[in-house]
Amino acid sequence: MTVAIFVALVIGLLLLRVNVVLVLAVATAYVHLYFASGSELAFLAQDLWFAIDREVLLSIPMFMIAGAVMTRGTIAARLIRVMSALTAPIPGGLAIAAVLSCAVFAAISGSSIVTMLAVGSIMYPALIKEGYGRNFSLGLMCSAGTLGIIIPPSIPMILYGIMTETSITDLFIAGVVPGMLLTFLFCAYALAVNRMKTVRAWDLQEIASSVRHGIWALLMPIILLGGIYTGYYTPTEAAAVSLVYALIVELFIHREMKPREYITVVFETTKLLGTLLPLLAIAGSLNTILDYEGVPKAWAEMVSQVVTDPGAQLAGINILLLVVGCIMDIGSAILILAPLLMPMVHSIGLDPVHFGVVMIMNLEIGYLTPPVGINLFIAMVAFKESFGRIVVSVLPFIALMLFALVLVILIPEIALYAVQAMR
Amino acid sequence: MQKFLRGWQWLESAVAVVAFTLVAGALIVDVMGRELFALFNNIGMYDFAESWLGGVFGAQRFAVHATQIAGMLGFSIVVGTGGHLRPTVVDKLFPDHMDGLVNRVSDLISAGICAGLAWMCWDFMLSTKANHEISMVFQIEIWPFQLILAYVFASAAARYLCYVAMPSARPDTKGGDL
Amino acid sequence: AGAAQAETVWRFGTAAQPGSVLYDVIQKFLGDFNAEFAKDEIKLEFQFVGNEQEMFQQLTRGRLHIGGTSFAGSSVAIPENIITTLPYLWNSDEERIFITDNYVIPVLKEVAATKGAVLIDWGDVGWNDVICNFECRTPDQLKGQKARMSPVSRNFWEAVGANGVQMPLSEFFPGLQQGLVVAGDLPFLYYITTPAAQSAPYYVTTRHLHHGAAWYMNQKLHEGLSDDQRARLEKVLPKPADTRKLVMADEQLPDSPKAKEFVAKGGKIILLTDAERKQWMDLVQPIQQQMVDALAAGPAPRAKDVWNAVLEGRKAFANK
Ligand code: NA
Ligand code: NA
Repeated sequence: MTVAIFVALVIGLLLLRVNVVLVLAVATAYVHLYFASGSELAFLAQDLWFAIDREVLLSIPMFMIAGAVMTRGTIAARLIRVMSALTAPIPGGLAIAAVLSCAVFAAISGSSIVTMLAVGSIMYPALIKEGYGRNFSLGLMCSAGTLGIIIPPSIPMILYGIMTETSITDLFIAGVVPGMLLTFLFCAYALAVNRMKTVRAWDLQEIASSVRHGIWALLMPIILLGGIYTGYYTPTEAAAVSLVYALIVELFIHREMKPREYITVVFETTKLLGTLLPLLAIAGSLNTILDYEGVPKAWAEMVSQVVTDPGAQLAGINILLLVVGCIMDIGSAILILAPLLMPMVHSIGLDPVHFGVVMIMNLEIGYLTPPVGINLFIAMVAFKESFGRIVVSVLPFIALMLFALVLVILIPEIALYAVQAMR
Repeated sequence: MQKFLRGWQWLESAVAVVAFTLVAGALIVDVMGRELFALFNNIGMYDFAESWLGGVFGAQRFAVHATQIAGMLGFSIVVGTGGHLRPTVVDKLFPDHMDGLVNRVSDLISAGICAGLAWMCWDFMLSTKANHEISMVFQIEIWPFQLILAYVFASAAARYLCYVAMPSARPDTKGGDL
Repeated sequence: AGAAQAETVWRFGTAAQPGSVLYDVIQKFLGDFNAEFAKDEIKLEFQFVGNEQEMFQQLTRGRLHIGGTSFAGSSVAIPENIITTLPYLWNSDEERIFITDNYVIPVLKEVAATKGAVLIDWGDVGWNDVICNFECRTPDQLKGQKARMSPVSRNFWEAVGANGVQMPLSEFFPGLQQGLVVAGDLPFLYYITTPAAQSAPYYVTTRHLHHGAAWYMNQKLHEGLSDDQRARLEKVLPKPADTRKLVMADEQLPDSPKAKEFVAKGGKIILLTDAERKQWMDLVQPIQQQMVDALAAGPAPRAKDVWNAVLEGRKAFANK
């Protein structure tokens, strides 16, 4: 009965043209009141607060504003001109450049969202402008962004290491080759999809000219990456540094942006964040309820009881992780499930470092799966595309990631060879 | 009333723009302060560096609170611009001539939901205040920071009520298609 | 279905990670509690909450029922707890335990009771020591160097004259790798589980600040227990002395098995002599009074009571 009322309430509100975020708020409040044991409405407010009271949120608006400044000014266009000139002879060259940029950025950022935003806010408009398919470009940016957590450093790997007493250094090393494998697969797919795209031979004059005009723009990624790599600032602080650098270059060097336009850009970002933040906060509350109600725990126990054959258990664990990835954020999933799954992992005989990589690769896919796919939410808002379209756009990339996942499960050496070589 | 709504929107937007600028400013001043400290220390000017330079304690925390304010204000601003996400395909369910009525009912419900959220967040803020919960970094009570939640939902509720009273002020909400 | 419905589920919230002493102590307590309270049809479940401050706030609001945290973690609602983590507050473990148990805990119990929580148990998390990516021994070597500071260790690093950098732990470990910071401070048993043990392998026994552990129960829930239930809860709670013995055995440098494992993997333990430790202490101790005054004037009105309890305890300990 309560379930029926719940469904009727949600559908009724949507039919009456109430915004999704408010419908979600009502739905979550309902869950607190009628489904969660010993819960009350006050806890929803508490969850909202803690969801937005985190340092990790800082880099999201900063990279969004920086990207918008660079797109409204000319840094983005100049960077893209250089990249187009350099990749002219390769079909899908700009898309490959986008993937490689994500991989390089991933090597200094431990977060999927930050990687997607830092690269995507420039590359996505560029891909569209260069005539790449809208769905292809969206899917590419969303999925290449997830490289941020498989190529070290990686915040989820740190969490996994702490929760399972596995060496985080080993996990980082083990992530390198699988990260390169994914990068390779995304590039190969970009090449295959765009193989009919017209290509041009390298034009040395155009390359030289684009570099000359783009020198300040080219310094941008160098300052961003170099500053983090040499210990001047953290990835979070780098977001603010890139914004300030972009503003200085656009306002005082290129002078193709007026100070007034800065206000427009920030106002636009405010609206984006105003759409995104409440969604993330409510998703965070549902996350906490699932955790406190012991849902993922019960599922993990189910897997260990229902199947006993090691192969079937491994398959069961992977399906569990994929399902959990659909509804929970990766941090909570690791905090809850990693210690719970460890006994099973040991009994199957998996190396905990290998399993760590497998777990991250599983949950990485969760960034792209509805209903709770953080990269989908952010892409929807940052790239102004409909949720449905983005969900469809990532499907081929999910297939590629599943393929890579199966490879890493079946051939542990992909993850472990480098670790054993270093030991 | 339209003029009032516009002014209100302008005010919230101005605060948000300033808040975001402060976020970038706080982070940059913190980085610059400590890196200049390191620079002058490395060239043997520790005393100068120690008295004049250094990171700003709490800069990131300050930036988090400014982001909360800017981001949450975005919520009520987007109500004003009709940009919140919703599946517009369902609009065909009611014939065009009923649009006015359905939108008014919708706004009334939305106002109710936002008012409920505002009340809930206000109540939460009061419990924080009653417990004298503090910010570890600033060593001051945390409840004033939590006011922003109650405020934006109240502001959104009031805005929806204005649209119920005066449908012509209502923005087009087809923008945020899901 | 009726019988299953009757069982009440309580949640024990904590940020203690598997492998830590506290985690094992909690697991044992859960087992003992559930055996003892099976007849009351109360079941206590483990609930990991990564953010200690969030955990404590949920406890006072009744979403979690019992919780184990560090004193620093619960200071979000009980800022008086910070007094126990003042740098160089204790001269020895013996003195610390004597003063804590006999003088400090009674005051902290009173303060907790005004915040919706009952302090039901306590113990140790461990000592914070300095870690470096180079061989550092004296505060002079860290003067002007970039060091990661937490809100609790801020005053320590400022007194040392370091270039303090505030960052979350998730950025601290890559930051050490990239040289953004060259030093920081962590408890040994946590440190050895992190990448810091590789990128900053010098562990220096400054023993500058001590983290105590505190267990709380939601006050309304505690008031609702019968006298018999309270006595049985008391019976199954771990004894502070037992918890401490476990933590202090692991912290025994350089001889504990964990310390030996750390050294075998390339870690370096720098044992300071009393004279060397005093160099650090002399910089920091003079500002203790200031820190107490600031807390008392600001968020912790009863900070002075806790401080006076420490002073009184010191006298009693000296006369023992
Ligand atoms: Na990364
Ligand atoms: Na998902």
